[in-house]
Amino acid sequence: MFKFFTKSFVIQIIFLLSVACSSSINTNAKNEPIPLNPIPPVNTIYKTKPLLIPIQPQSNKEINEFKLIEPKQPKLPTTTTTTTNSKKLEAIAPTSYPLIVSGSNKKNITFKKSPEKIIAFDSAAVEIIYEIGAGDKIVGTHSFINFPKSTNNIEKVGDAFNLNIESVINLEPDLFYIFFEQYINQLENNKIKVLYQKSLNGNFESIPERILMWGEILNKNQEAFNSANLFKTRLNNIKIFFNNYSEGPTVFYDTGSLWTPGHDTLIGQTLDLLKLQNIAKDISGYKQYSKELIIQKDPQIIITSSPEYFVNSSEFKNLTAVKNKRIITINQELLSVAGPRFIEGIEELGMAIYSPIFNKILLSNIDK
Amino acid sequence: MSAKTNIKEIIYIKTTRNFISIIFLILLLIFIFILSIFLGPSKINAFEIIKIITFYIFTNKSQFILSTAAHTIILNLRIPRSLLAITTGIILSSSGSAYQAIFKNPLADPYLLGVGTGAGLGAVIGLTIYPSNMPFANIGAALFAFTGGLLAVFLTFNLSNYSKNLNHLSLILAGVAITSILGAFTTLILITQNPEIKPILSWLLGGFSLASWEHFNIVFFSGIPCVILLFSQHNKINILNLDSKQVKSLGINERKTITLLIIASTLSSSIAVSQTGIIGFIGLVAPHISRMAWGTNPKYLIPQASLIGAIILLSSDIIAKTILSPTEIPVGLITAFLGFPFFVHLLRKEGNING
Amino acid sequence: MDKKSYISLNKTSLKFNNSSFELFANLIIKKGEKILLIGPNGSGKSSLIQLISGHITPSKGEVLLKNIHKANKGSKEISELISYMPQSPYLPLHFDVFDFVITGRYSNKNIKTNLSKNDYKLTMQILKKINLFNKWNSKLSHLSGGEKQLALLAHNLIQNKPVQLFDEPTSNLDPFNQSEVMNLILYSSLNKPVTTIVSTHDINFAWKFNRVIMIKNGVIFKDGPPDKIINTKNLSSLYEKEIKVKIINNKHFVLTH
Repeated sequence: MFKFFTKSFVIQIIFLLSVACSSSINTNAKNEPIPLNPIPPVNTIYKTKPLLIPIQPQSNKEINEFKLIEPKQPKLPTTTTTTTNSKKLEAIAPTSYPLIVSGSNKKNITFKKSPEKIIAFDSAAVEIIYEIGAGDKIVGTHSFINFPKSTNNIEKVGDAFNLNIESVINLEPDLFYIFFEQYINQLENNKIKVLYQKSLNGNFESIPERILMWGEILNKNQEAFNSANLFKTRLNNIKIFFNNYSEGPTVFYDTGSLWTPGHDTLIGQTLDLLKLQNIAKDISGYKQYSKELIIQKDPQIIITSSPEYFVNSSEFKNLTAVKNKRIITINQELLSVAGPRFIEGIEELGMAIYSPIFNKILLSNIDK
Repeated sequence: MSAKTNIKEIIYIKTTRNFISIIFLILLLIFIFILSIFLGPSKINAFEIIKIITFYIFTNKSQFILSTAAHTIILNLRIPRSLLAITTGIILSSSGSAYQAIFKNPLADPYLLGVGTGAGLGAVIGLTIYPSNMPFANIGAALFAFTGGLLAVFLTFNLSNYSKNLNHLSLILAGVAITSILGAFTTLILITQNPEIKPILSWLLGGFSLASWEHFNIVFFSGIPCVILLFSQHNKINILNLDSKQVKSLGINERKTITLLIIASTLSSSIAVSQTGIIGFIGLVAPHISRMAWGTNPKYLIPQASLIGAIILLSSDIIAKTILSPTEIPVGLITAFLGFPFFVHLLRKEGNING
Repeated sequence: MDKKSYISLNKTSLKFNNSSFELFANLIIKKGEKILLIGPNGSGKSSLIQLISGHITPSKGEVLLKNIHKANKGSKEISELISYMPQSPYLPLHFDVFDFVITGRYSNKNIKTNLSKNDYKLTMQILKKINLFNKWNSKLSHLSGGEKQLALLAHNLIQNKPVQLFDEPTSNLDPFNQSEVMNLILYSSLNKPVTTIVSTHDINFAWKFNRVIMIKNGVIFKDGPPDKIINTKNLSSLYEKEIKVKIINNKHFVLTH
């Protein structure tokens, strides 16, 4: 009798494990790039309203303690704030080799010519390289990459936990690009040229610089210049738009299980750019936020990929954001990679929150 | 001293003093419970809290609407969270006391037969299959954890020879084997399937940060009957500490009793772990403290250990939610930090005896 | 089957899986007998005692108590009849002496309720009798080997059951304690007849018993009153060494060289 139960339970465990493995393989195929279009993505369940209009206070209750700053009178548009970019004019000329690039470990890497076989162990670098038209030079990357689609065919030489040095050596790369230090010594001991640059955490304004850097390395300076310029222009348009406003609504950005980004993360800086007040501003990096504080700070908007959690829970149902149905879901992947698509992410978030006012920016982009 | 005085003294130390200690512990627990309601990451005025609670107790609850954030925080977050901490402390301590008797080893804890690792594996599987849902609001992933805990103990039981020859050592060894294989599976899934690491890590370290009335009700109503059963078996648990032959001479069917106790402990621990993650040290430490302080009177031992466990866990939770505000540290970390000095103290004591 | 018999082992044999050793026993024990069990090491004394107490099941034959109950069935009635002091049991070292001894007072009647004041009194009395009372709240881990044995003995005596089995109860005790303990075992309950079986290596106690069983290589070698059984010839043949029995001042002495 016992033996029968034992066997059936063992089979059940094996079955559960296989279901777990197979189901997560399927989820990887879902992610496709979202095309940029001027029509804001409409969240069909939860309506978004333009939020620079004061929220109606709740009836027969005390006045909402958390006041909304009304917009000041629109100022005259100020001049474009220039970002630091001294290479703007020079980038259009082709690269003159040998080229020296310095990495975050203060080592200088010399390029005698454009590298032809690159292992880019960094999602941002992959996206940039494809953007400037040199995607065919990438021979290896890590397993988390899923954009663009053609990366499916590139060999994966590692994942979050480790790097497969043998695969790397087999591919005979002439450049290995990585964003963390751990494997540099091992790779250089095997005579691989390593360029190490820290990831641009919390500083997306230097994405155009990175684009230009790759343009120079790969001698795709015109394409890089176009891409970087477009990025900067779109960024500037957003900045100009928000010059007219002092503060926007309070927001809680949930990346899952109440983990939220602090002020020094890419997303944190995005929220600052969009004048959104991140209620978790005081934390650093990504941390799990306390339910009590969310309730006490009562954000006006919640950005999450699991809205049903907030709607169905008894503690959160009195939140302003839940009551007014201002729970927004966006494609969080765009804002997770410090690459050319980052600006799309910013725009999508802006549209989701501030449309239709925000759409004017995109229309002005199309004019150019 | 005459014989009469001595017997009175003995009876006092063995019984009355224990009874007083229970009263003391209950009062201490109530005090810490009230403290836990007043403390938390969001600062709420103490008078406001008193107003809320008295208002809640004395009004018709159906008409009561949660009007402000403070109401929600106090009534829907802090109170169920503290109650959950108390219940979990009671469950883990009573299971720990039972296991220490079953295995005749004062170092046994409720996770000895694999409940923790089994529940962990179940939770990881659940979180991998349903990555987009929040694990705690979803009964599904918690159900995986609960089933996992039960299955692990079941496997341990069957792997060992215990049913044939009452060999405790085989149970412990089977527990070690099952724990390591299930732990290996868990790590395997984490490495190959890339699920969300952060919620899993929070869960594995144990915490009450996402607690709500729902969690409390589940743990309380399923766990407390098991705890009551453990309380009622206090004499048998006491006798189980003796050598197996002596247990048999006293008329206790060791195998039946142990099976019953393991089932009750596993059910309640599994439920608790599925809702709150793996919280260590409480089940191990609480029975020791009560034994060191008040000796071994079986009628009082398990209730004392349960109260002590609840007090420690609730205090750890207060620390966990306030010390690094606005983030919360998982409670399992705090109990681990508390466990270390306790073990050092035990080591020193043992060293002095046999040295 | 003899109607007077209290415990009978009917053609029982016991074989262990891992060895070629086999124990044969066909015994009748009457109510109130005081039996001494002697034999060389490994001859089967402990196994015989455990057969009687029901802790071991015979491979063949049966062990009956009061002609009704099978010893190995382990029912509650049997536990009311027999107490058994094992040779080197595991002791819960974190218990103190008092708590350990008082567990002997548990029986079918009070397992669901609690121990009474009377139980506490009895524990105190027996601790005094064996001179452990001044250490009543010391942990068992703090006791010497001999003291632990005394505590174990107290645990058994306090059960006060009609059949009491002791496996080498005096092995760790000093000589003065040994005779005290033997007297306690044999004379503690003068009112009701207690069937006692003791195994020991100290043959000088034999004359306090009314029956001696000699066991050698798993077979009962000699069985009878000490006057008839304990002599030089039997002892020397039992132990295969020269052992003399001498009578000095009307007392018997067993001498080994």
